[in-house]
Amino acid sequence: MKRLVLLFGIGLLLVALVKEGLRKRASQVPVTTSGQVEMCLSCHQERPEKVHSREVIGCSPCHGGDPLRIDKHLAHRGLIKNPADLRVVDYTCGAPSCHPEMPERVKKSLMATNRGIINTLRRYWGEIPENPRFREEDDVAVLLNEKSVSSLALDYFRKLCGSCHLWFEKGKFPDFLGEKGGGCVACHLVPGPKEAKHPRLTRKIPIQNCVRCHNRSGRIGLTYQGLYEDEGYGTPYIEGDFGEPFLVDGRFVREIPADVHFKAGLVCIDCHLAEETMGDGKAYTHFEESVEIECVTCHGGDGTTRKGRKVSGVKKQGNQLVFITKIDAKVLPLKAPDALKCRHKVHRRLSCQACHASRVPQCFGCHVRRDPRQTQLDKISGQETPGAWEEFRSYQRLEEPTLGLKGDKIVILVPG
Amino acid sequence: MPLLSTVGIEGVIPFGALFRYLHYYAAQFTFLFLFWHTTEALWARSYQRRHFFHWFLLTSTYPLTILALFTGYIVRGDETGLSAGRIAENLILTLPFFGKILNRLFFAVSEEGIHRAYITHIFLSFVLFFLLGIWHFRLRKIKLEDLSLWATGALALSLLWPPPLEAPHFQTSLKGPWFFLGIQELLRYLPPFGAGIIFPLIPIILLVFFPRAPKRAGWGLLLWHLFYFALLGRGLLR
Amino acid sequence: MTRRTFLGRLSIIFLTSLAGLGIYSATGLFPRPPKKIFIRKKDLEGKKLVIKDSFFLSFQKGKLLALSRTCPHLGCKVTYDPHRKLFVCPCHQSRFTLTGKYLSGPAKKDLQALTIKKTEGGYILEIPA
Repeated sequence: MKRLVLLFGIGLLLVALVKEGLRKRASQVPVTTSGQVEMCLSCHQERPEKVHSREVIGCSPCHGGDPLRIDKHLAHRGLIKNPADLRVVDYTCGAPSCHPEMPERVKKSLMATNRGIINTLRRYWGEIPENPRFREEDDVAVLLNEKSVSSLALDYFRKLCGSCHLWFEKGKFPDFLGEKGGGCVACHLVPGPKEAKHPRLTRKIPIQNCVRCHNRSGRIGLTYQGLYEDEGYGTPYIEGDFGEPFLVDGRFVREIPADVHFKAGLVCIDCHLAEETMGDGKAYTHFEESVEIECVTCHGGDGTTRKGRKVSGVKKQGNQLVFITKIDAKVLPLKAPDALKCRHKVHRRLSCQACHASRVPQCFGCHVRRDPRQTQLDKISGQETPGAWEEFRSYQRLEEPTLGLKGDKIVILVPG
Repeated sequence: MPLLSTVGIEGVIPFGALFRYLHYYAAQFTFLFLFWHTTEALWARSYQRRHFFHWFLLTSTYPLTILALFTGYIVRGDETGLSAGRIAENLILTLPFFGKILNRLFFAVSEEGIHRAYITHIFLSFVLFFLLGIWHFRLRKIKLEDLSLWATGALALSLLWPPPLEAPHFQTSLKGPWFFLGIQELLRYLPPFGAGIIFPLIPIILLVFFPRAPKRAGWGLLLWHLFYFALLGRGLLR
Repeated sequence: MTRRTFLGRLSIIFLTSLAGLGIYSATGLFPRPPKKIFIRKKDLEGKKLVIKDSFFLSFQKGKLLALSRTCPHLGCKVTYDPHRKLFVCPCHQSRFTLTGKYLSGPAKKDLQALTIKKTEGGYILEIPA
């Protein structure tokens, strides 16, 4: 018996020898500039951007794992693929020595809560009282924790709207859905250069990152770029195939003249402040409460929004106001509103859009159908549940918008 | 930085990880065998055939072996080791006069890092090995076959379960060396002097004075260990 | 007394003193002065909490506090829990507020506040010996 065990022991010695031969050891113990041991650096050669460089931060403060081990299965225990996911962001991006004030702000912002969509939807469908007061439970974070779907409107939200929020797990869902969401990286991530083998975080957020989600409803992301989601026939047919360009989700778009700001080189972040996109610490119900920029902020004003904050692109050059774009630092002159056409007292009540919005995509005849026999993917829970929703419309038009009264101002009214 | 050396042994030196794991498991075996040996020696009433002074010396190697084992944890230099060192330092400092002297002899972790614990670990291990070796090799010839048997066991464990190494991150829960989990648990409820000095001294005193009152000391040791294992279980489940 | 006994006794006294000296030096500690650390005002800009190796810098309710990370229970290094926004000791889970006040656990005392002195360009912190 003892001999057998000893034989087994010799066998184990050989196993140990082979294991050691196969093991890839490090040439030295890599250390970051703060003195922390970071063995990840001995195997991984990824290079993020300069402000988060591998020599200063290493890998584990963002991606977790065990920075003291070189054996893959030990080192990768507790690894976080997307450190910006709002579920873990308190420990990663929001760590006390990094961006501690951000997680709380972002989790309260409308892009994370979707409070406006949920609240409005439930009111329109008669599930909650009409007065649009602030309700804590109208929040994607709350819905994520609910096991069962409590209402029809919420089922509709989960299946058709529930992929456009910051809690959405990037990469989890198939096809184009996999590109959406991800917490901080939903906006801040751009592909890195090939040699870097790592995507890059940026403050120069390209328009594509915004349009990933802001391409429905009012279709601002499309119209701004000069794209019009039309009736969807895909015409002209060329050699038997669709000749019209289409978006990732299959909707056909026609090219139309773009917004003058887009033509000038401005993207979303040139106007929209961080306090609008990432929240200013207050939890709002509707985007009208959150958005603070107006046309007069730049055209006629000095860059101060209605809440008193400054649009950073508006700068004084000499005795003139100019706008400097964020992406490529282009200097653009700022036209003040015409004294007669815009400022005359008979036009006092007109909003800028009333005249300047020449063409607005308008979607008429909204129909929503639920088929209880089929299942559909609930984008909040990730499960296929009974009840498949489909939206239809009567027709789509690109026309001058109807004018209407909102309070004292004459604004444009856009169905869809 | 000591952690650099520990990680270097495991990640840079050829076969370093294997030797570190073997060393760890061999140490755990030493402790477990000491526990078994003491129990068996008490059962066989070997104290009757020894002079009390020799018995006292022999039993004093029990806490010294635990000290050698414990300082091995400290010198790892990771979060578990450093925290264990700080706790041991503060527990020893609760002793009125000798506390300061003993702390400076063995620990002094907050002032000098792992330096003194390191010296204790190496020095004590060698002293114990030589002295206990001299005593025991006189009595019995230990077969290489038996030692190889247990080496195989340590090797098997080394290949299966790497010993822990705790990196600093936002951990809100650290588990100390497994054999001290019971004391870690008791320290939540009782003041440090009681849970950290008096409580662990009880079995040592019972062991030393076992020859004088075998039945009572025996029951005392049994009850203490049952209580300790209950605490250890509770600490493990956290 | 013979020479043998005299030398014998002398050697015992000598060896004992040598051993005593050895133990004295082994248990001795070079007295260290309090450590002074300079913190740049720039590094604190806009931050509510800065975590250093042996202390926290916590800016709460308009006051800057330097709190020692040594747990008042048994000296473990207290860490920050980003989820609950509290200081927690990982050894026995004693909890403290962001101002160092004791909340729960076996610590029973607040975190030790270190003396901060304002100076040109920042602050000087004193960590006692």
